Amino acid sequence: MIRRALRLRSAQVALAFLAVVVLLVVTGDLLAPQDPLAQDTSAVLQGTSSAHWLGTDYLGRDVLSRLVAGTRVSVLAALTAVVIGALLGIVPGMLSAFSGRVVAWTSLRVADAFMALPFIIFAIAVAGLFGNGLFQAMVAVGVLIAPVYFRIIRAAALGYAGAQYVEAATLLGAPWWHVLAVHIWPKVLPAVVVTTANLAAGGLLVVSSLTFLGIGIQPPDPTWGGMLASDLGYLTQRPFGPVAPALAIMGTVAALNLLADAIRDSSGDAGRAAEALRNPLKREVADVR
Amino acid sequence: MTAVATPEVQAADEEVLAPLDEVADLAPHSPARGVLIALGRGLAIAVPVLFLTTLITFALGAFSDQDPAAAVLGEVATPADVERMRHEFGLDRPFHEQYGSWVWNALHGDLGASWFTNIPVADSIAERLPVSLSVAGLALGIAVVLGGCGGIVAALNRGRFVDRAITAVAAAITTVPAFVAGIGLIIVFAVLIPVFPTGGYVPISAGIGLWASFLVLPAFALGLDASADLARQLRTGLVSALDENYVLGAQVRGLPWRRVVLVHALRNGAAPAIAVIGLHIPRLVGGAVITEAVFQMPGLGQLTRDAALRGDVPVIQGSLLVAVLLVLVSSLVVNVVLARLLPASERAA
Amino acid sequence: MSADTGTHDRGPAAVTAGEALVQVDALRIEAPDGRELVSGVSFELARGGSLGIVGESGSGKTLTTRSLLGLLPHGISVTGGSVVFDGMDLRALRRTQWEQVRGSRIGAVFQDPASYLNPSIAVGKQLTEVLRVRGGLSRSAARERAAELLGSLGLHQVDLVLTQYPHELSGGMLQRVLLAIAICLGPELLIADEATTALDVTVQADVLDLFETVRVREGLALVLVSHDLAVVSRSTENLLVMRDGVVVEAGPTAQVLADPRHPYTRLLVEHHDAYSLAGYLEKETADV
Repeated sequence: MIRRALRLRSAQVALAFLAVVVLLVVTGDLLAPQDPLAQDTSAVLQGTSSAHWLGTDYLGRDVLSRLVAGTRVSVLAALTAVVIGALLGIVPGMLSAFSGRVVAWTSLRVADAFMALPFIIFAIAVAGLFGNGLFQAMVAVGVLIAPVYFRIIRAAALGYAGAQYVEAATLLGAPWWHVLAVHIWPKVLPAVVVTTANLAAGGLLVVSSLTFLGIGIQPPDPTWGGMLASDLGYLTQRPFGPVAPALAIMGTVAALNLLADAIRDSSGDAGRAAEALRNPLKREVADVR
Repeated sequence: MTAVATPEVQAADEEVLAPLDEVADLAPHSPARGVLIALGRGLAIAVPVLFLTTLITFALGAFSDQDPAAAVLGEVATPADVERMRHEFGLDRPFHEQYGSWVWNALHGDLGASWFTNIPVADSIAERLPVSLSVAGLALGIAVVLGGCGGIVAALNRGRFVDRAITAVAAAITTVPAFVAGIGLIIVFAVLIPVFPTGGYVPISAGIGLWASFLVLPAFALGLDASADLARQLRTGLVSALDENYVLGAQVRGLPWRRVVLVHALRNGAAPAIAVIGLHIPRLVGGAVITEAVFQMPGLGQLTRDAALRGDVPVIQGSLLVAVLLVLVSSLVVNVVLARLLPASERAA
Repeated sequence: MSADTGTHDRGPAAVTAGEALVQVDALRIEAPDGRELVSGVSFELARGGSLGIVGESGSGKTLTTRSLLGLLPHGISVTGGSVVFDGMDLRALRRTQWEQVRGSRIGAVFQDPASYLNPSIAVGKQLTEVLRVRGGLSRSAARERAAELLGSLGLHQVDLVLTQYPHELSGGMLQRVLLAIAICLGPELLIADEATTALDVTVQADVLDLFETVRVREGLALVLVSHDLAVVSRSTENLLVMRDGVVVEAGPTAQVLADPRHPYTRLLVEHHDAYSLAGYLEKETADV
């Protein structure tokens, strides 16, 4: 499935972009051409030059270096949310495909309750209540996206829950975790991969939004969202300042979404279950048992 | 079959029209009943969801490490002061009691008061809500108009250049976060071509034109994502509706094409798009926080953000509650609209 | 009628009385890839006359009738021949002109009636919509006329039926509603394409009788398309047998059935005899 997806040109471009991002996450500010925190009051708000490829910000700091150094925080925070969401959502989602109507109804309502909470306001609230930390905020986002995993995986697993080989395995006395791991997991894997890529993109947007608002970061530390916020104050002097961090965010988001699309297009029904969630009517159909 | 096989042209008349025994289940049916059912079903879901979310909201505040005494009195507070303060705010009572009285008071419109300013939370929210509702409402309007037109035009020109252009633009827009869109709009329409203000807000009482001029950019920034999604869903829904036999049926009756599209195809094809609006409402409410920050508007989002940065628990709880209420009420409205539009789906549900 | 090779034409008998309402000559219909789906089909239909078209699926019979409605599937088009209705060249019509012809001069009903009605709109509203938008009736006049029409087509509890949705009605009832919509503007031609195929046998007979009644009462010309020889033989005067986009035999229905000349027609009649109840009973008695 993945291999077939990688034959697509769009997937190759997306992967190349993501490889650069991952490299920056691993190396951190080692690759930054200059010290991302070093101020130079003699050269503030400059345009592009050979010394500063992307110019300087309002304190004369090198924008390219800050962009490179800011990658790790932004990406790792997004991944935190996705990992927590996956841990909380995937196994319950598979299990609920086998549950009775009462359990299914209740679990869907709990999922609805979490999905009704506006992500960003909730994350801000949690960050505020539990100390102004990005990690706390992203744990909260992770809890909020768990229902997304739950519903998609449940929808994907529902199709297989009634399959004859699953029934046969259950009749032969295989324990539930064995049935899940051997029979259901491989079938829902495409949906998991697609959802993870989509949610990582969404998580990155939330991280950028939060850091943009100044939630969860200490001022001198560079983040993509924080850079946008500080550039916003100097639009008249440097109108194209926000372009570089904005492109970093949008490029990564677009690459993740492209990858998700490519994998979904080259996988079967299970991948399409992830698409079905985008269409709420189909989602309701998937829930009718 | 023998009778059928012989070609006998019968004398036309009424005895042929034998009474029908097959009068199917002729339960009286009215659209109003469908709406009531949808409303009841929606409330049955919304009320438990509201209960859960208030519990989550309140528990977050109660179990956080924020303390009004430490927050207000600062480092100099003596343990006795802290104890007195905690008692004053009722924080020494058991959790369920605190929750119960919070819900009870909330039902009477009392959300407590800020730990820092002592201003009633309900008053602050009432003051900020019009700002947020203006932005989110206008954004929704823009999404419906822009996404609606885009989707219909794309569907009617399926496979042609216009269709591919709209689809590509919509796909590109969904990768742009609201605050990036906001900054872009400010750069273009407030800095390079200064036709709109870069930010701020004036109430509608200062004049509709002025009020709108402050809202246009933020509402566009917020509504772009929703309109792109709406356009894509509407295109898909309408394209499949146009392939349905009932569209052919309506054409056979000689109904004008515009009527066939706007009355017959759209009614069914718009359903997924309308459901998508329901999904976007939490994002519009939440996204308003960011948009308000970009455009420096004194809305609910700013209130929440400032409260979060200070650890002002009652304000955080109150605004979270209002946000959730907004979301639940609007999704209820969406469900009722869907039930009114598609009476047939009531049976399937 | 053109004398295409392979067509067993029985000459002027095909048109019984009156002037021709429909004249189709050497009709060609092509798929987007250039494949010919209908090649050189010709027939005439008199005012108030009836014509049956039989053939297996894919024989081009549905496409032929669709060209009379100007509603060919996406990409498929008429590439040759002429389609003339009451002296008017239908191939030259634009969309707005077609909208004037459909419904008020040519009506149609199809297989699977439920799918041809909008599932989200009450059936009464769909009937009165046509009467109001096309017939220019007022809301109350349209409602009255609708009830009257449905009553004349053998439906009971008409006021209730009018408020119901397609999923609440049976197939036979739906086909009557569709028939009411098709004839409500007083067309001169009614096309029934496999209109009784999905119905129970008894309901099928009822609806076929209804077509005949309406045809005589309203002076309609009828084109009845079916894969089922029995359906066509029961209610048409003339018959076209189509296969692979070509007319293989044409003539008065009774004559074609009694004395089929083309091997394919012979095959159809034999099959029909062999599998119908009559044929079965005959065979039983012969065996005894």
